[in-house]
Amino acid sequence: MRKLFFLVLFVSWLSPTLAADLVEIVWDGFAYPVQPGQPERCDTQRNPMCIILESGEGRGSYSTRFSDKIKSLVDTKYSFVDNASDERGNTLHLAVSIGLEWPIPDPAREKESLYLFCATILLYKSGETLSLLNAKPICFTQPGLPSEPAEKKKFLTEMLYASAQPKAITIEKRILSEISEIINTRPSDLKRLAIRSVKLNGAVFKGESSKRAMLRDFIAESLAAALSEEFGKPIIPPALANGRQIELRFQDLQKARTIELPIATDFIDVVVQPFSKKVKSDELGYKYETLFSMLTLNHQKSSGAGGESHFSNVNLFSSSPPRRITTGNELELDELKHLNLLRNLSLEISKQFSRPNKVWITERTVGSEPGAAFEGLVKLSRELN
Amino acid sequence: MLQSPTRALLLAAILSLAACASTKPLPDLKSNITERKSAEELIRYEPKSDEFKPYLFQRSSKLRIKNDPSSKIIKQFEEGTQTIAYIASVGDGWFLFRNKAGEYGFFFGNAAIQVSK
Repeated sequence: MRKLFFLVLFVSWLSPTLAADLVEIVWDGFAYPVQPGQPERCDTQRNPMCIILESGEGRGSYSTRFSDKIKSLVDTKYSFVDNASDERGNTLHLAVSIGLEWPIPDPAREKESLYLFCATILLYKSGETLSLLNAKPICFTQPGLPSEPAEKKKFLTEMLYASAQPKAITIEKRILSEISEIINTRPSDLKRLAIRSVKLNGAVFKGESSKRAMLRDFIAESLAAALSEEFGKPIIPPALANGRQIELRFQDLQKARTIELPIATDFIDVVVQPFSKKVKSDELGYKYETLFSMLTLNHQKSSGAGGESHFSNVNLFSSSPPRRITTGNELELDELKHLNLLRNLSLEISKQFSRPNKVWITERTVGSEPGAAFEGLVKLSRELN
Repeated sequence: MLQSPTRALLLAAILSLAACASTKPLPDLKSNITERKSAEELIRYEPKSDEFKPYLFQRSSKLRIKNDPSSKIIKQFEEGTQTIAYIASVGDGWFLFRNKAGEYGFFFGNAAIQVSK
């Protein structure tokens, strides 16, 4: 009996000790990268999801729901808190930055859009500056975003967390799963690879500045997410405006953050080439078209790592299967299809960074030397792997 | 150089010529993980002996009792761990791991790659 008493005493002493040994990570919340000229508060035209992420405070709000969820994550080394018990520098912080929301009108469904959503999980450390330790970009696509405000809110809520289908992969579930992993990756796991710039050929969405800006973000976020997924490790998130920093706006405006990015060893610069298509007729006179999208890639090592380039002006393209031309909204359909092609091309290109495939590169390279592109990618993948 | 309309037109023309080669299905370079089933189906499924393959964990990864980050951690695989296992995708970024002794759990993310024996 006495032994049992001491055992109970020992366990009750041990439990809080173990809990106290967990390293705190402060959950800072959902945030938006600060864009020049953007309103400081939730702009539902530009960021439809903020109507849910920033709705209300206290019980019943989404921020409280997510805060409870993140605190329930089970880990052997870390625990999540709203405020650090001892904020004297070197505290770990976590935020989710919403990098892209792009509703693209779907001509096949009246009053509905295809909704693209990209977010980056950012783990950073406080000190004299806030320095990024790790980052994980992820993207989601969902058709059927309604234009009517109430229906739109329902759609976004279901996509975020409240899907009626029990097996649905909600944004919330995916983000929580990613967070549970990223906190245990070491800073050395971060691939020092950065998408430095995305430029658009003048013919792409000519005269549509808003679409051009969206497309630039879309390519940067999609390629970063695909590369991170392919390597199974985080990469430096696409930087906005000033290159070495990410400025974030939180619901609580007092909590603005500027996070310093780690120095990259390898930079990728991307050019989106004009969308094109080829039309062919069959013996019955039916016309078929094939769409083409192409990205031009340039690599450069940082000046600290020698500044050399393993490949430059590599043009890689993706094409759609031939489809019969019918009358209707060809132009709008083409836009959606080209965006899909670019997304698939980003996925395919990311594989070449990890495991270059000579046959694939030869088939998909145009207007540049495939052999040199392959050699350059082999060299880069050896350095990154 | 790439910004010039002439260059863009030239590239578009070359793209058109390349149409025949472009419609082939892409090779799946990462077909080393077994096809997708639901988590419940995977737990019930008894893999055949030839479905157990050697895997290498490229980074540390937590094996959990459910495909849920708030569930209990059974064990942690350290980076560089090699093991013979049946690994299958649940489809939401989670993978079922099962060893020959019948022990199973779930890990998240692209942490394990199949290696040669």
